[in-house]
Amino acid sequence: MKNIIIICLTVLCFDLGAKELSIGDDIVGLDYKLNNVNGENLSLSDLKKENGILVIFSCNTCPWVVRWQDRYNSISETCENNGVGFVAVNSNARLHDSVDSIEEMIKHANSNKYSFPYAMDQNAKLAKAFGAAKTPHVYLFNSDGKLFYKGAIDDNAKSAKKVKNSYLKDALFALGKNEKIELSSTKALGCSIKF
Amino acid sequence: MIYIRLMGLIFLLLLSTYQFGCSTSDLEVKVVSADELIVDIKNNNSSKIVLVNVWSTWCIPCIEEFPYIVELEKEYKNEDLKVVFVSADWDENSQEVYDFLVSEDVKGTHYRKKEGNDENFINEFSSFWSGALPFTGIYNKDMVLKKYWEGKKDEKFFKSSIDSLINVKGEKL
Repeated sequence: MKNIIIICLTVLCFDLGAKELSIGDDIVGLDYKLNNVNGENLSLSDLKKENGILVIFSCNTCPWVVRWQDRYNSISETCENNGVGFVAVNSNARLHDSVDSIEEMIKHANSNKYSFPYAMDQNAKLAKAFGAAKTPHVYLFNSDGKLFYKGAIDDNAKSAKKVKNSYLKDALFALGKNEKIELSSTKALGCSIKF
Repeated sequence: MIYIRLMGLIFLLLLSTYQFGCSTSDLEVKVVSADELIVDIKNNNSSKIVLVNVWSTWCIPCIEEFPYIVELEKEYKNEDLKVVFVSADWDENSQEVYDFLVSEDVKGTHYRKKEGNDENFINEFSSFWSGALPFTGIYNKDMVLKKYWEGKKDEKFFKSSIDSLINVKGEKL
């Protein structure tokens, strides 16, 4: 009965477009072209390393991104140390002519000293394929390309010092050691992706 | 003479400030957790359905749809629809929240989310909600979710969603 209610609710209410990837799902859009701020064209298959790949849907102006991005370089380093590729993707297609243009992305990456690829997802093709809805939102895939962790970076956008649960870093360490994690999916408030 | 005029001017200024204060004194912003908010809604609701809109001052789509959501409560009968706004702004933006509500000329009780525990807040309103703003959920009297959506929608979409639930007979809702 509970399942029937859930299905009915989903049919009646769901209004998000593409279905979001679930834990254990295969990575999609591996060969989609992404425009990195350094001028190169990248794809997830280029960036994937021996233990997997981390994709963060991000942007230039979302206040939650602005609060969380002081941890991006540290996340990049953790990825590097655990054999995981990393890319931050800007899928705000509706704003790619204005605040999220490639020129603004370059400025943003420079002013925040991004040490990792920050790439434009034209027409939000990758976000649509993932069923991603917000920024910042992370998707971590293992070496087999299966979704291992998705959701929030940690439990405190406002202060890295006050974080009690480092969900993403815990998942990255677990992936590096080929261990399981307790929390494979978390949620946080954020900005809607502007498709 | 000049002192009397000055005193008069100061009196008028104070009076105008006082009047302005009165016009906003019937606006209250409660800072609540999801649990507290749901209890508050249940205790103060006599409408058939409750529309909860989660917004933020920095969220442009939220600000764009805010005015016509305000109008919805005026258009529908009290017994049919209650509209509840919940700001997801941080503590340091509390004044911006208040100022925005004043600028929109809204009255009554409004809410701002208590900081922390985002995941619980999100799931209390809908386990289907990703956390993206704006969020709108429509609930029955018992705060059981009936419809929800993320992102900005136009007035027509809001009305057709509300109408489809108001027209549901009795126990089925």
